[in-house]
Amino acid sequence: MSNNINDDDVLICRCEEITKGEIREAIRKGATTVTMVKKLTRAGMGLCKGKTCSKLIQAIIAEETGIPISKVDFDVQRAPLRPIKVGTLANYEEEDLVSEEVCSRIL
Amino acid sequence: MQEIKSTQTVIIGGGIIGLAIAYNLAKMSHKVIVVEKTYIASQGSGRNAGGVRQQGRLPAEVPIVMEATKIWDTLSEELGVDTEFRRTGNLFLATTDAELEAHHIMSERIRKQGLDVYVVDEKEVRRIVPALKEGVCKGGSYSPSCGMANPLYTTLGYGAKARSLGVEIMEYTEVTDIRTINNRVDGVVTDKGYIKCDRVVIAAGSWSPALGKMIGIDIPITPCRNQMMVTEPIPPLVKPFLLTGTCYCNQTKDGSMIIGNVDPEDYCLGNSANVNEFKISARNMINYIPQLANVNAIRTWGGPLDLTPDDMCMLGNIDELEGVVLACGFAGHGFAIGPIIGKLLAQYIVSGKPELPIDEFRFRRFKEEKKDKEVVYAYGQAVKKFRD
Repeated sequence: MSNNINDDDVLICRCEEITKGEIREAIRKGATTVTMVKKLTRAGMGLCKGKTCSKLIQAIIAEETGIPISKVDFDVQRAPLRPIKVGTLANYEEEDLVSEEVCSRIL
Repeated sequence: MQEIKSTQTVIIGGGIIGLAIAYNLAKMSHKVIVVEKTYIASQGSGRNAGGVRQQGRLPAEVPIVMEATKIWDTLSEELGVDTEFRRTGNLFLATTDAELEAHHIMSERIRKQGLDVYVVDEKEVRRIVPALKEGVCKGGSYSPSCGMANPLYTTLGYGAKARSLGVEIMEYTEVTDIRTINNRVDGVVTDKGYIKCDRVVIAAGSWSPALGKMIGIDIPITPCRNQMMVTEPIPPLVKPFLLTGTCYCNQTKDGSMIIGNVDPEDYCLGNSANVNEFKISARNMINYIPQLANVNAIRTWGGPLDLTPDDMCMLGNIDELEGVVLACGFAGHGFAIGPIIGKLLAQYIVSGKPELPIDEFRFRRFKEEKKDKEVVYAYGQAVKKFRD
């Protein structure tokens, strides 16, 4: 088990620079879901919106708490899927929702 | 049902109100259990924009929010967390002459109550926020002593501090009934068992009416959607908390911009955001701060405000049943005044003598003779109109 290895310095969320140790600390404080870890540490709040780290965090929660990984609640998905300019949000029209660029970013 | 615990006061709701009351009661050696349906700070207390605004408040609330802001100054040390509170100022923009006139009336009234709020012309507005586009506002009202803080860190801080003083916080515990004997509270039925207690505090925000139903009272709260987006961090752009109509924006300590709006017609209890609404707030704010157009929005979310008919919260006992204390219906003001509400309600519960009067927030006001009611409602409507 990786518990025996001191890997607390491993970076899990690259956008917000959150380490495995910080995530373990959040779990010790009672976080049992990816959303709760996010709120306690900011992991997953950066530009990529947790695309890289969410699954890793889910695994760390399972490893630390013994909850089966399939039972660890994933993060709530929030629009937009990818960062989008505030100006684009301001100007899109209903018809644009069929345009690929806006559609893939907003919905 | 098997009795599992017994305590003096059960607080229903693990938001800033419930936790601040719990923390202050614990400081007075009062036994408290907080019951929270999910986890603490999961709703409005952890997801609001963080404004600590004193201006634009109803007369009864002004002394309370001014006292709250004094507590905010030293709250980080008190709780042992960084609440990120800063006195950044609060700026209300006026886009028409009629709006500016309303700002004059409101500011003069609140200034008489001791707050540093004054009406500013467009030139002064642009001095306070240099990023503001020329010619888009007539001026506004400005209160430099208002501020903003991080709602999540603050509320979690209250929770941790309350726990350290012996408060038990039962998360993922749902209240299914409030049991009464001879017209007084006997205890709270939860999905984890029965908690016998002398007193129940209802501090469940928009979820309070459902608890009111359990004891046969109608708590007049309408949940309405408040939603916001957060951008990538950018260099300092807007110092004060900026409000205009139903839209607002502010820049957090890490540099992210929060852009939000309230849709008073959208009644819901969910946490989702309505993407079409962002078109309105994004357009609105870009109109004022053009530089925002090129900033990336990262995440959006929503949550309900617990609106009441007169925009004032409900505090204190109810006539219908002994042992019930209300602390709900904060209508979006709860975060800013949470620290003082915690103190006042703890004093009210222990000694019946809060250091500031809370009588104007009595639940009974909704049933009182029409004249009073009309005054209260008229004021609420005037404020609503002013906001629109």
